[in-house]
Order: sequence, then C-alpha cells, then structure tokens
Amino acid sequence: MQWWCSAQGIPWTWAWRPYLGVWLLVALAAVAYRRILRRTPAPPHPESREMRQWRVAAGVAGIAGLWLLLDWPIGTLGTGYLASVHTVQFLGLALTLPPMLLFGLPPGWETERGPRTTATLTRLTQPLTAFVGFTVIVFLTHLPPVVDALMVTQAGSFVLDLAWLLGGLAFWWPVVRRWPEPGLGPAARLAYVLGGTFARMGIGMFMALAPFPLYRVFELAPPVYHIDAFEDQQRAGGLMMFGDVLVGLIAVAILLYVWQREEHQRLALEAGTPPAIR
Amino acid sequence: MRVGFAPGCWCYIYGTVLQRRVIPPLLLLATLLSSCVRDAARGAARPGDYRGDVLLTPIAAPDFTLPTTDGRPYSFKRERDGYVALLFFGYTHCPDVCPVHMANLAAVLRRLPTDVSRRVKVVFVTVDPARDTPQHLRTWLDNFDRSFVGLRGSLEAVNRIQATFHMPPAVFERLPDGGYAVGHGAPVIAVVGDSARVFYPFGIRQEDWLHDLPILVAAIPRARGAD
Repeated sequence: MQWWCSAQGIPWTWAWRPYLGVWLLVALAAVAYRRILRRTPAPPHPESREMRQWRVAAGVAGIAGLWLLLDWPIGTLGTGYLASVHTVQFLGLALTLPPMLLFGLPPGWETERGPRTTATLTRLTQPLTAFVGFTVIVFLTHLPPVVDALMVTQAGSFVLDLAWLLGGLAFWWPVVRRWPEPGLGPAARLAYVLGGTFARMGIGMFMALAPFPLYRVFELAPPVYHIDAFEDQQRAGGLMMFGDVLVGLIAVAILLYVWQREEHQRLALEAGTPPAIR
Repeated sequence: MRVGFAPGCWCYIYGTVLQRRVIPPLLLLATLLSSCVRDAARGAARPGDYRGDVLLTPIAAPDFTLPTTDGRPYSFKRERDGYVALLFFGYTHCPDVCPVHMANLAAVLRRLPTDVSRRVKVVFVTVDPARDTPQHLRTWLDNFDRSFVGLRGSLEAVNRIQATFHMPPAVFERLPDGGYAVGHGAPVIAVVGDSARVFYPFGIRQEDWLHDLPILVAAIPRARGAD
C-alpha cells in the first residue's frame, strides 16, 4: 500500500486505492483548524459574525479541497497518468486552496504566534520574497527532468505537492492576510496578483505549444481510455493558462470589491458618519 | 545598497534581498532552462545518428507471410519494399508496453510531414492469437491508427519469426483472476531495405521517433524507393 500517490506504471483501473499519508495530512489540517477556531472566540459584532461564517466555510472547503485533490482518484490520475489532471491539481493546490485556507484563519491569528514563528512568517511572506519564491517553485516543478524524477517516488511526489501548497500559501499571504502592517496597498495587491499570473503564463504556453510530450512520466504511462499523451499535454497547457487567468480575474474582482468597500468606509469616517453595516 | 523606494513603501527592494534571495534561484533556473534548451538543440538530425539502439551487425529481415486482419496474405518482404517497416510483436490485452508504443507511433505519424509518414508502415504481429481474433485486433489497432497493419499467425510461426530477430519466444503467465499475461520482447524493430538496423526499446519517446523516422526514411534504398 502506498502512503502518497506516485507514478507506478501499472494500468489504470477504477479500483479504489488508499493513501494513508493524504488522510493523515488532511486529518492534521482539520484538527489544527478546529483548535484555531476554538481558541478564537466569536466576535460579538454582527458583521464579524457573518464574516466568521464565511471564513469557516472557506477554511473547511479548503481542507476538503486538499483531500479531494490529493486522494484517489484525482491524486492517482494526476500523478501517474494524465498531465491534464496534474494541472488541475496544480491549479487547486497552488492557486485556489491557499487563499481559501488563509481567509479561513481568524483575524489576528498571526499576531498571537510566538516570536520565532512571527519572524519566520514575516520573512517568508514579504511580498518580493513570496512572489519570487513561488514563481521559482512553479517553474522548477514544471521542468521535465524535475517532474520525471520526483513523480516516480512517493517522497518526491509528496515534496512536489507540498511545495505547491506552501509556495501558494506564501504567495497569497500578502494579498489575503495583509500582515505585517502596512502590507500591500490596494493597487499594489492588484499588480501583485496580475504580475503572478503573467509570470506563470509562459509555462502553460510552453506545454501547449511543445512539439512533443515533455514529461516521460505521462508519455510512458499506461494509457487511460486511449488518451494520447501529446494531446493531453496540450489540454494541460491550455487548462493551465485558462485556469490561472480565471483565478487571477476572480481575485482581481474580489480585490476591487474590497478596495471599493474600504474606500467607502474611509470616506464615511472622514465625513463623520458611521459606515453602513452590511 | 538600497535600490528602491522609501521604507514602508510596498515595492522597496534591498540589495541584500536581491543578492541572497532573488539572484541564486534565478541563476539555478537559468542553468536548468539552458540544459533543457541544449537537450532540445541536439535534435538536429544527422544521417546514422539514431536515438534507438543501432545494431552493430544489421539482421537480415526474414521473408514471411501471415494473414492480415481481413484475411489477406501479407508478404513482409514485398510489402516493406520502399518503406520503413516498424515491426512489433505484442498483444491487445497488454496493459502497458504495447498500447504505449502504438499510441506514441500513431501520434508521431500524425505530426510528421506526409512525405515521411507515408513511407512508414507499422506492422503489429500478435503473440496471443487465441484472444486476438482478427476483428478484435483490427478494432484495437483502429483505436490508434487505421493504417496500422495487424498480422495473426500460429504461435509457433510467430515465435520462429521472432527468433530470426534474436528475440525470445512469447511466455504465458497465469494471472490470479484466471486470465493470463504474455511476456514478449518490447522493442519496435525498424526494418529498412532487407535488414533490421535499429531497435527501439520501451522507453523510447515521441521526440525520439520524430528525430529518427526522417533519417530512417532517408535511408530507404533509392533504387527500390516508391514515391
């Protein structure tokens, strides 16, 4: 029995395969999240209570998403058979779940950490470091020699998945948590998100336009329903570009909404009238 | 040295940050990318510069005749004349090697220029005639490419043909579910003219086929070439 999905070269079947490592990671995340929520009392303010429900929903959905993307069948298909499913895993683990998980944390969670954790968080989530670090991780983890070497072992595959998740958490931190103060301004946050999308665009394009399959692990995998490895890679490249742009546009829309709301509240405060509670 | 804006501004960049955190990963990335580009650049084809396993002494290709999936006798010697014949011994219930070889060859032939692809014949000889009925074999091959030739003969005849290429006979292994698997040689044999020159073992990639097939086609004896 495997503890983490990896390419095994065995024919694909719909027979269920358990992955204890995935269950353990998801269970740990769920327990840790529950502890965090229990230690943070619900704010009395009605707006905050509603916001807290959204946060909890995002956190729970983020953890459920982790399970969905890492476990059978998506984890199995994405690791050893289809590049397109591997891309779905990337879009989820690196771009979609991290902002949900970060939003799920209660406000001020980071300020209650110990000095060492605070210092580490401050260093790793500094915008420039997070941006460059995440972009480098994404580029490295899509280089064919790296992918082919990592995906054939459980430890390698685990490292790849974790690198995407942790890199994604660092990348989205300055946008979602906005800590330490002053953090990125509204326009800078937009530029940061769009800049990241633009920087990653080349990878999807490279995959979609390559004249032959780039990844040995997918090209020589036992075929799934006669899906051609080359066409699957083109689909993966297109999916990566489209998915990344879609995530970027959704993030921009949310950031514009937040910007507009904060600006409205600021102007209301300056005018001496209390902001409307929604 | 500071290269940016005032402290507190979101986009300040310190020299130390550049030196310690930005430049080393970028250098590593540049090195890896350059190695990829170098690998791609070696794709320039030179005659005789095959990616497959070149035989030091080419094997004389046998002259055999087996029935195709539509029952027509197929003379390997006559049919390969003027073509590159890619001969493979496998079976349709094969879970890994056979479908991967066939899928990759089909994908490559679709992308090669027609003046190259129409000079290549893929010939699949089944080592499992009991299960690979003509209809089943045809249906399976059509999943990849309708032009692929399927041949079916007695196991003894097929094993004799394999032996001429110094390949072991098919070995049958009982499976726990009551079925059986067939152990067989995994290479695709490229036959040009009257000899087998290059063997392509399992693990050969589409990139390698794209590189080698034009060279193999160029090596077809001109006097016998069919345009």
